[in-house]
Amino acid sequence: MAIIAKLIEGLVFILTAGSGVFALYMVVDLLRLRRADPGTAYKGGVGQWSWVAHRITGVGLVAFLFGHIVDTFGVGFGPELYDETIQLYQQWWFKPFEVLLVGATLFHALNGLRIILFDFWPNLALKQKSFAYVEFALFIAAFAPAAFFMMRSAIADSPFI
Amino acid sequence: MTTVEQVYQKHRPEAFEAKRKPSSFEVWSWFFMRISGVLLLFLVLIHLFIMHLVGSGVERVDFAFVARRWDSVGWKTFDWLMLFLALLHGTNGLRIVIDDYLRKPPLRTAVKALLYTLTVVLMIMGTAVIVTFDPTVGA
Ligand code: HEM
Repeated sequence: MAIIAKLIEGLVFILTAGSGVFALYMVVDLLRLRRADPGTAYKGGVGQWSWVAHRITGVGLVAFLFGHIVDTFGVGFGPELYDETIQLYQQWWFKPFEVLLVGATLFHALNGLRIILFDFWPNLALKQKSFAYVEFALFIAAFAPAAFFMMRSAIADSPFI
Repeated sequence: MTTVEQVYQKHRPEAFEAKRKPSSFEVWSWFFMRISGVLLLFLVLIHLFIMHLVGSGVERVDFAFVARRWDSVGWKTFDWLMLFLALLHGTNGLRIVIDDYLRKPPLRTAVKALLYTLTVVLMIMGTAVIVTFDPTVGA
């Protein structure tokens, strides 16, 4: 059981690291395209960076989802396997990753909602910049308190205090 | 009645400029991403709130906690719906990303084949663990 639990934790680790590599690749690819094309197509702006962030968070979330389905599958084998596997997520040092996951989901959800609004009510896209700033404000308003409460419990558990 | 295709055409006129119309699969894929997105907004945010913020968050999650939640058909249905939509939304999203970055047909086809196989396996694993859940296993 211990070996299987470690294997599942390893899978989660590999998937997470993989999506990090993808994020890096995507940003490098975009910067390369911007350099190669001095025209209008890749000149950035809030819309393009939102698209980059939407894609990176989307890929990161599926990567985690794949691992998360495998760890939850362990529930079917009883407490011995599941409780050991899940301990990975309960280490105090895992908290920053958990906060990152919550932040990525929140951003992807709000930004996805903004895309959907523009698709079904195209007139709204005329004010796309204002919508983006409202979205960022909502993101901070929801993410900051969530991150604060999550980090607080982890800091209390860490060996530093 | 506006059809889904008309809505898509309004938003993506360039997709209709080529000689042939976009395949109806692409139209439905576009529509599915939006419908599943709206549903996931509620499912996923509630899930994160319950699992990561309320009480002592993820530290309190263990087999007994899952057993208490899955004692209710309501939560089982909630979790299964979230699994179903997130997995299809995520896989369809990855398909679009693969189309953007992998331009050579052999590699593109191979990676997609791998992705779809994984998705089917994970859908079966996720469904099985919810449907066949037995709180006394291993006790
Ligand atoms: C929480 C609510 C969510 C909303 C409102 C949402 C919304 C959307 C929308 C509208 C798109 C299409 C973007 C486009 O066509 O340009 C999209 C793409 C995507 N989503 Fe989500 N989504 C949500 C959750 C998730 C989850 C849980 C996952 C992971 C399993 C995910 C993974 C992806 C991926 C991989 C893409 C493709 C990215 C791309 O093409 O650049 N999404 N999302």
